[in-house]
Amino acid sequence: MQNLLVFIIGLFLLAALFRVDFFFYLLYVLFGVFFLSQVWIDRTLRGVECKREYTDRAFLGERVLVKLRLRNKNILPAAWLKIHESLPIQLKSPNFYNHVLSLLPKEKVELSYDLDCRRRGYYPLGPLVISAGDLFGLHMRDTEVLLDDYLTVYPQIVPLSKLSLPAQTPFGSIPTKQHIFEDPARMMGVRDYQSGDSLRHIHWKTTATKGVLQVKRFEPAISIESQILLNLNRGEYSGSRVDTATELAIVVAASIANYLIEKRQTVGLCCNGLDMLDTELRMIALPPRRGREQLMDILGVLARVKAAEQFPFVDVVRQANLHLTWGGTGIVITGHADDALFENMLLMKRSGFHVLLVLVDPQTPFASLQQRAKEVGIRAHMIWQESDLDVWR
Amino acid sequence: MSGDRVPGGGEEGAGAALPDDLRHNGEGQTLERRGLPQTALEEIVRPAAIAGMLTCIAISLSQLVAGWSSTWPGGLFCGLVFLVSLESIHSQRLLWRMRFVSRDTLRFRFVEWVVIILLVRFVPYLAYGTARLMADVAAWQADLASFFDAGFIVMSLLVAAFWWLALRLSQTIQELEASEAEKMPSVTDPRHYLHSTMPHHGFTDRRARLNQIVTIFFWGGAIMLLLTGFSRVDVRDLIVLRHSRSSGIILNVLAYFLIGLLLVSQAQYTNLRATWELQSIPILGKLGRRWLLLVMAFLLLITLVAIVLPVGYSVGILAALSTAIQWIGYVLMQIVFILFFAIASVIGFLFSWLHIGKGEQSSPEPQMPTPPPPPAVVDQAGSPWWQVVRSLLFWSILTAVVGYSLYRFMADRWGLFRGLSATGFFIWLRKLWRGLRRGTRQALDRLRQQVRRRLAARQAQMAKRGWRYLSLRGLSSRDRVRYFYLSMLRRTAQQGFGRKPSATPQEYEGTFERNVPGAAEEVRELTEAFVEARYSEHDVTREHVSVILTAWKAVKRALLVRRRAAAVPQPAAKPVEGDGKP
Repeated sequence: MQNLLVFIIGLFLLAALFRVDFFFYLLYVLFGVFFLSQVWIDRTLRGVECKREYTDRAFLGERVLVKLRLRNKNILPAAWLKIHESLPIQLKSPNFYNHVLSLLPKEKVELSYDLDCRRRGYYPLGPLVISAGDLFGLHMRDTEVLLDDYLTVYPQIVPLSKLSLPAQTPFGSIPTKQHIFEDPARMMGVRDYQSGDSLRHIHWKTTATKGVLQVKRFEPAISIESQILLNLNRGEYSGSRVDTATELAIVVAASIANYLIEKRQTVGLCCNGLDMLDTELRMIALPPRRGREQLMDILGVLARVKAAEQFPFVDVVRQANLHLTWGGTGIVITGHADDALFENMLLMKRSGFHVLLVLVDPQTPFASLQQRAKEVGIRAHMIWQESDLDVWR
Repeated sequence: MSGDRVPGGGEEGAGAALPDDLRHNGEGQTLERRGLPQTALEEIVRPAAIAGMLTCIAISLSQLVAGWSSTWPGGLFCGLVFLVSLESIHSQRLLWRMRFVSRDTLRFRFVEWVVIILLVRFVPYLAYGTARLMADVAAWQADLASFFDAGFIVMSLLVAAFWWLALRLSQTIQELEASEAEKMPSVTDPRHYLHSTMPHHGFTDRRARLNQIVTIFFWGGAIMLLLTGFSRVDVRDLIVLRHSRSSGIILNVLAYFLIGLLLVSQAQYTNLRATWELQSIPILGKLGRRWLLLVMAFLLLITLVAIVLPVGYSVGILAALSTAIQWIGYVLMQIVFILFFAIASVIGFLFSWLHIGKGEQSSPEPQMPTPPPPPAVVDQAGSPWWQVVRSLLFWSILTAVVGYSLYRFMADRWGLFRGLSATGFFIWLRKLWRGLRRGTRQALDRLRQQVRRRLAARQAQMAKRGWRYLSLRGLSSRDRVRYFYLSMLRRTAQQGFGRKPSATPQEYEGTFERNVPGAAEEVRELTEAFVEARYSEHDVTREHVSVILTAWKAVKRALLVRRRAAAVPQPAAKPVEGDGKP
């Protein structure tokens, strides 16, 4: 119908030539079709209201239902609308959602689709583009009605139960075999009084029952304040395994953070990757805190973080010293440990911190690295794949 | 042709919150399936629409030919065109469905055309009569060549043309639909390579097909308009442009364009639906039915609007404007007079009520003032006001078209105008304009400042005067009491013993009593009433206010006496005697 205007002009000439009034009426009809179709389309696109409803956070393996609510606010119907929602390929294949519908005045329609959270990340949803046209093929327009929303998919968390972390901070909630510090809040039984026992520890009820002085026995306990130091510098991983190894490192970090928070410990995160929400180029540093909120913060960062090449990992290790209190534990998760890293870990040891080394991509035989770590009093583990985390289950 | 459906199964659900009318078979996915309405649309509505369009052209043609030849069987010719068009479409669909090989197609067409020719030959005899038929049959027996006379050949050619147009339109609309061959096989299918190496990947050029339909529609329309025009106007008059104006509805032309637009709309729908189907885009709801209803409503609305629009003007632009202004003035005057009459009636009623029983003579009935006569309308045929309205509409449309064209012209060539604006003359003009704007703005600012200053001065003056124009009737009981007390304070302040800001009303009571001993009781009453009105939450009654009003008047009187006493000069002291007595 692109030639309609030409025809209208021709019709005008014919009408003027023959002086037939009815031809002028036809002129009105055709011009009305042309002009009102345009007005209709413009109003249609302006009058359609869209809302996207979904849960903006999900764990790996979950399915997220996204609802699109469309409403025609106009008093005119929308003859046809084609909606096109762009989606990340990691969450949906094919990476779009299309639908065609028509809306009567004030009509509401709800559409829905599922997103399969198969990979951790911070994904944009949309934009939602609505195309509309008239009934004669004269005009067609499209507009972006819903800009990007985001979905955070947390990394995989492997449940751990036997991760024994060394620490020296007393009065925590994790039992230890080091009988240096006993936690008066964790009574484990009674024994006979011995000379030198504090009178404050006498259990008077048992003493009265047995007729012999009995003192309370306390469970030795420690508190672990930990800082997870995660290396996401792509240059420090082997080229062939960089993607797998960095993802594995993130899974390890998330699992350890989850374990420690469940044990009501304080945990922080230092990382040299790039947070997609951070507008500035800087290292990620979450100071150690405890609680569910802290875990969600850490998981959120681990969901969004991307491996980069901006910051060397030794800088992360140096910065971690600032956040940890004496006796805390630095959990170093990296691909490979070189001399510089060993130097910095040794420095941490000397500063009174405990260090646990987790290697996910060792470029020299792990046994030699483990031996070297052992010499400086650092425990080293190698996690080559997710099933290797079973040693801590 | 298939109905709206979910190509590829469509895994997404169209949520549970769909309106009931969109539900189908109790499923969330409500995609229209091929049903009776769709079949009726394809098998009945579209063929009838195509045949109807072509018949409209045939009517115009018949009208033109009837002007030259009185024996031309116009009505029968139109009926024949309608039937042949239907047959053409039906045969095309039949061939497509039966997938005939070429030899069978040839046989099919040959048989079809023999029947059509027989129809063309014998149907006109329904108009000519059996006597002529018998005569002609006898002539054909004598000379078979007389069977193919000029009239028969012309009519056959015309019928053939319409047959071809119907076939072309039907075929093109059918080609717009998605075919199985266009669907891309999966990559594991052996036909995938063949499909991907085909020109355009085997896709039909639907845009071209749609353009073909539109082109046929426009050309058909143009030919019909020409035929209609020539059938209404004498060609000799047309050459010298002396023909008269022709009015009235030409039904076949209207029907052609409405049916044509409907058909184009359906073609567009078919095109879009095929595209969506091939892209595996699900279609929600009964889009096909809604489309048809919407296009019909849209065309009906536009037609109705077009009918009331003017196609010429009987009143000039200035006369129409002048009449419109006069009408507005007349309406305003009517409103004024109605208001005036209502007020006069109320006053008259009050007047008669006040004088009730004083005399028998009744007041004269209020006469409604006579408004000025409406403006003289232009003497034209038909309803005069309607002529003026139509003329106004005509001029408005013309102005809108001209204004829009000028605006678009300027907007499209804005770059050129921007280049021109860099020349010296335009720079000078721009400077002049800016200077004028700046000067005007400064003058306006000065004026605004002056007005503000004057207003501020006036407000200050008003504030000094106090509550000069305060209406006690407009105040509530509580505010009236407060006013009495505050007005007393104002008066006492004028006399030099006003209340200090630190003094409470009770404390001031003592001050007042010392200065005006004669009104001690009243001022106590006034003070108590003020405190109650100022700080209590319960209502202050009117009776209470009337009591306080009395006290306030007494206080005012006492203050007036005091002021007058202070204004009278004291007599000079009398000389006293030595013992001290006067």
